[in-house]
Amino acid sequence: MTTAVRVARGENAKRLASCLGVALVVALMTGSEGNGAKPFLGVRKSLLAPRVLLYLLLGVLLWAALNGVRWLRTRPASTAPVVPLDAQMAEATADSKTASWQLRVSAALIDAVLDFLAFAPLLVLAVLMGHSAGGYGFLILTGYLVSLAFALQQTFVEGRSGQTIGKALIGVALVSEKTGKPVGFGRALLRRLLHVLDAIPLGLGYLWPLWDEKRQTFADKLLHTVVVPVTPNPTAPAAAYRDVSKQVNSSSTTRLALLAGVLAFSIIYPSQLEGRWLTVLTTQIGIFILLTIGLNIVVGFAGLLDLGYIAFYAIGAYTVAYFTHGAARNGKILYPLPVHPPFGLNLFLVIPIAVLACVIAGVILGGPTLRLRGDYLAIVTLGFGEIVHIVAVNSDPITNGPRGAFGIPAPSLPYFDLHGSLKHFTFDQDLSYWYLELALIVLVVFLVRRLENSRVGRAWTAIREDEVAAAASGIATVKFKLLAFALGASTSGFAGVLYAGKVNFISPDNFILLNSILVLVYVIFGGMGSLPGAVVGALLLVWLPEKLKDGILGFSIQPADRFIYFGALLVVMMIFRPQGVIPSKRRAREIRMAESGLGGADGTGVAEGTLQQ
Amino acid sequence: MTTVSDTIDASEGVTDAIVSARALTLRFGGVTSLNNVTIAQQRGEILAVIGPNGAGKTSLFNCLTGVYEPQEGSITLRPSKGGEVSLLKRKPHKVNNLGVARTFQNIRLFNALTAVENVKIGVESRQHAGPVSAMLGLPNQRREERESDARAVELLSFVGLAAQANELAASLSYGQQRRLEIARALATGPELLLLDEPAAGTNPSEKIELTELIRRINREMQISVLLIEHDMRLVMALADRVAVLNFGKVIAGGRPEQVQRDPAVVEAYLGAAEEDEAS
Ligand SMILES: Nc1ncnc2c1ncn2[C@@H]1O[C@H](COP(=O)(O)OP(=O)(O)O)[C@@H](O)[C@H]1O
Ligand SMILES: [Mg+2]
Repeated sequence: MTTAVRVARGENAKRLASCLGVALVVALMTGSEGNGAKPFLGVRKSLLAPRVLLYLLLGVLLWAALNGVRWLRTRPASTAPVVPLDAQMAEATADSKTASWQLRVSAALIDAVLDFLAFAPLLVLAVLMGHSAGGYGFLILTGYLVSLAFALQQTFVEGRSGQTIGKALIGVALVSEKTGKPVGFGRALLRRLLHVLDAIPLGLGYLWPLWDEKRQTFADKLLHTVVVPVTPNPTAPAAAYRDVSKQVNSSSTTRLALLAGVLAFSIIYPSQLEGRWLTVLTTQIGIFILLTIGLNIVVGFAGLLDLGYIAFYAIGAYTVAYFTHGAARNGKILYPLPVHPPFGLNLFLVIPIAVLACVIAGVILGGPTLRLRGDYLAIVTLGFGEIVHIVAVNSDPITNGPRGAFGIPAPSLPYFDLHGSLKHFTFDQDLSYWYLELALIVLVVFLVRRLENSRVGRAWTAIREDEVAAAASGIATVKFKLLAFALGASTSGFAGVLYAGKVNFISPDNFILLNSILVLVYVIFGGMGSLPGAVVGALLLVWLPEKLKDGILGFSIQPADRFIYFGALLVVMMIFRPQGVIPSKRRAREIRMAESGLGGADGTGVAEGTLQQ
Repeated sequence: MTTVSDTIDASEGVTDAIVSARALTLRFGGVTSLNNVTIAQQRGEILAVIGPNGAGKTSLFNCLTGVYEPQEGSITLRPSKGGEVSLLKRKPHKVNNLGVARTFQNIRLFNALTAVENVKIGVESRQHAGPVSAMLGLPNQRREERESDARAVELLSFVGLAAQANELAASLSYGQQRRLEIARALATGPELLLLDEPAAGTNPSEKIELTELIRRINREMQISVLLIEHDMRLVMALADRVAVLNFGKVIAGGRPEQVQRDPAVVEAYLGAAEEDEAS
């Protein structure tokens, strides 16, 4: 009984949130304040418009109507055990004693966001019906990428035991209707995708359970699955220690909520920015965040000092220049480079090629050198970075020398419009490009984070802390170092691709040693081995010099002078907060222990074959 | 009877050797750490290597596990699944993968990781899920993760550290750290376990627990144990056979009682120890 009540209440909140969200978007879209080119510019104005209130009221009414029907229907059935719906997972959590209010709130939030995203096609519909949606299109695209990521994440958990998933959905499992056992991965995935889909046309996914006794979604019906609550088995020893790796990275629900906030901010705020800052955001901040995340794998996770990191960025960028070309003008195609393949590729298709090229370059460079100790590696990578730069400058017939490559086209995505004709959406605006970058950054963070908490991430930590002990514990140290190196390289190359696609012009000047060092500085400043640190480090240190150009509180510096201040900032930082702005917990411990004389924090200086005694 | 300068063949009487080293010689510049050492371990036994400090015991371990490469000699491992492999010129992690795990004289744990994570690293060195599985959270990775959690917890209970599972390795007591290192070594599923002075720095009650633990590793898990230890009581209680090293040479080998009475041993090493014990 109590379960039923709680379930209903949680769902109500979520529905209300969705209804209000849709109402708000519709209200914003139907106004005249926005315009196509700067879609969000009118947001502030239109938020204050009286019709918004009206729409919100309509939202509440819609919600009440939905609920009223539902309430009438569920009442008599309340004696039967209530199987929580997928959408109600949050509430099942509320039943377990461990669920805190943060947990419940963020679970509800996540759910609301998810379903709100499922309504995005409404917006598309509105656009097709003649409303000027402008920038909303990118929002929807980003939304779908994010919701897809969420959906995937949930899938893996539902299929297994439902005991984890960002902690929001603890306590629920997806089981087969017939056997009562958790379903396999494939079915769970399929169900998830179907579920996202069935929520699309006017929230059919919501309405469905109203006349379904078993309270399954449409997808559940098709696949014969039911979501059931599971009581975590406290006697299972493994379950008791399940949280260990999470503790280390404290992926608490508070963090989850914070993350949602940051995400919302990075979606909405840039639309309010004026031109110059949008350019800084897309051509520098976004790109350097990606670069820093990549180098953080190499330096922070595996403890390898890579001073030629930007070389891979160059390889990525030149790969794009090679494989793409602009539109023909006067019957003549302008190629970015003097050399080119017989066909031109879309930038999105060049990504895997560039990543592969960087992995290969990374392995060729790392293979022989990663057997060396940290300091040698630094020198060799430094040399590699310089070689790549010099090759770029001097190989005129291939790289166009110091003049660089220009005319690299912006990436575009094909789509079919209502009339079935093929169109291309081109990411040639700052704002749309930012959303593209944001989606990719989110994706990379998501993947790298999983890596960190996996067998691979722990092996890196082991190698960084004590290579001899790691090898004695059976870890193939060279293999794992090479892996870190290659992953860092490919992220760097990926960033290079994005950069080239944005500025449409690259020259060897983009790939100087200074940039390698800057990225390293961002990693150290943010906190070695910390993903949020990498993001914040890059963000702050790219933003600050730009801001100082404008002047802060009347204080401004010449861009050329910024490195003096950088240096000073770093020195101060290393004295007062050597672990970085947002340190990784493991790293912070290492530093603390090194200070109390208990082992080495010097990640790059772990001696190979350190001798016994 | 042998004289001090003679080299003894400590592989005599070994019928089914899990590992045997022949005529090992290891030099560091002018220092000869191991001088024509021949030693073999019977499958399933506890073999103790004793000897004064600097005798070359740890050097022997390092040769066996691929950390040092001896200038002369051969080392052969005969895993229970059959066949013979040479351990010479093999990388430490390869040696470990072949079923030889070790602990270190000066404890080498991953200090910033928790106890359970330390053990998981051992378990996970045998797993296969790669970076892609990890990034996408594929089912095989999730299964392995659960397995390594379960196994690590099991091993922690086995060595008596279940309650400390979530504590940082560095925050454990000396005796606990020694046991954690043993658990990490066991996690790699060895057939042969090399323990380098596991009782060093532990208190008497911890020594008793440790003796029991090593016996259980040997009997319950059927793991052959090669043990370096100074504590004679522990050695006498545990070892099936004892080999004595002095100045890089094997000076005696055989059953514990036998070795204890060997004049060469008494002269080199035990004399002092027995006096200690008598007093
Ligand atoms: N890496 C090394 N470099 C130089 N000498 C070493 C090295 N390792 C061990 N030795 C020397 O080899 C001898 C044996 O050392 P070791 O095997 O550690 O002795 P034990 O473990 O029996 O106390 C000592 O004289 C020691 O100094
Ligand atoms: Mg020693």
